[in-house]
Amino acid sequence: MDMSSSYQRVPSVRIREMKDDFLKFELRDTDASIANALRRIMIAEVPTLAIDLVEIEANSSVLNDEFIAHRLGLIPLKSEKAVNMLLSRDCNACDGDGRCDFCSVEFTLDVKCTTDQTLDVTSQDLRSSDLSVVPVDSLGQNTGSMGDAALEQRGILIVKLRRGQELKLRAIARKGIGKDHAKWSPAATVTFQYEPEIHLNETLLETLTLDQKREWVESSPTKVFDIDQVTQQVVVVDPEAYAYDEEVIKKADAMGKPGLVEIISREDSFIFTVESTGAIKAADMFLNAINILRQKLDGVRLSFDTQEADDQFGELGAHMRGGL
Amino acid sequence: MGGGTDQTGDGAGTAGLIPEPVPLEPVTYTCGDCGTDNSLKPGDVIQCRECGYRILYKKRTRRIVQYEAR
Amino acid sequence: MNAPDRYERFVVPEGMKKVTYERDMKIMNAGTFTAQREDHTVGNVIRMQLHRDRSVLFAGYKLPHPLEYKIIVKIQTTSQSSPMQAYNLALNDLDKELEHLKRAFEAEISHKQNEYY
Repeated sequence: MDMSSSYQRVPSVRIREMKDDFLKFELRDTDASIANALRRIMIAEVPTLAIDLVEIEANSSVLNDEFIAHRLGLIPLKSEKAVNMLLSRDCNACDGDGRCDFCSVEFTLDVKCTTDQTLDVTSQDLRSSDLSVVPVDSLGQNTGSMGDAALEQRGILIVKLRRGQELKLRAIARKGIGKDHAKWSPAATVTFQYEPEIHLNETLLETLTLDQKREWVESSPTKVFDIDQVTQQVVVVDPEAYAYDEEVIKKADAMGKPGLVEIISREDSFIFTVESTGAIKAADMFLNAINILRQKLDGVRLSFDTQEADDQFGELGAHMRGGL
Repeated sequence: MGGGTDQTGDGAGTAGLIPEPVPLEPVTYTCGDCGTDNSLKPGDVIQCRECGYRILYKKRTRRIVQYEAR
Repeated sequence: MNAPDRYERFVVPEGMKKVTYERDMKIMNAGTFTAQREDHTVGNVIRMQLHRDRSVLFAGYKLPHPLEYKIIVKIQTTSQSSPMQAYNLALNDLDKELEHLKRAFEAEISHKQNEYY
């Protein structure tokens, strides 16, 4: 009954680059299972808002109703509010139809092409009932990414209309998670790699000519090594560019110098790259993921009566009843 | 003999369905050629009043259709 | 046609318990935990944390079938501890570790933001 033991780890974080939709950081002194769990949660279980129900009143465009409904669902919406909202199946306030103010946001779209020019119906034509929930890429947003300003502000194309064609619909956006449908995933990509540790064998390197060194440095598909101009030595330029392809090791073996370099991946050090679709900020995605993991672990705790039942029928119970 | 014009309605599981009453109000159809609306009553000749084209399209339903965006 | 609904992956139906525990009849100090509607995300984390416990002799998890959304975690401990204790200890330690990670990350964010201004 050792209550004082604790096998807790103490992780550390260092952020390398942080923009609204992009985050690169190092996570140290923790296990790969935690890194992977956070990655999985960022992709599939961080809740966001997305259009879930579409009521089409008029559609004379070239795309059919369900096609347009599907495209509307995939439009990313700014979901800062999502954390405070309830999932519509948990909501008590609405009268059962899942579209009250507490658990959903309503959008309308009403366009008709009256000119001879093709009308592009974009996400900017969606009118929201709550101005904090709008499609990503709306006017007045500075996403921090490079690109032509005019291109950025055009909005996401939904359908194109010819003269006389019209589209009129109502859409309800609800909270959900990526596990349910990929439209609710806030992640563009989330990756992590083990931090590589590269050790060059200096004595073996001495035995190579400059040409051999150059040949060896070039055998790596990514630029990991380089020849220092001054000292004519092989130096490590970017250890993280190493893609674990082992080409340099094979080349060293082929040149007759096995053991020229030793590359180990550190098992407890990870470099995360988190890219968001814009629905949630990348840093918020990671924080939400940590909270959700804590909630999940809390959810799998044993209830008090399960523990009690075990005590009753467990070892002690067996002893009391006279052996196994 | 299954399939085809089964008036009793057994084939597709619609047993017990009362046949729809003939609509009293006129329904508007759109001409295939000139695009004008024609209102026709049951028993009318199927022909556009303006251009005489004999193919008329039914308009989209007024009921609002709901879709899941999935 | 036979595919379960998507929400089955994470919604526990009414009347079903989220976690159940069964003692192993044949082996001392061993038991199996069944968590409903969970997957590798929690399973692997709990398993790796249990491996760090010195009183745990065996710890493993599996998803019996990819279309049945549950995990079973099997634990065997020495007589100094019990599977339930090991499980609870692992969960407590993970909670503390994640709390620490959260604070470290928040501190790092505010540090970075102060750098800009």
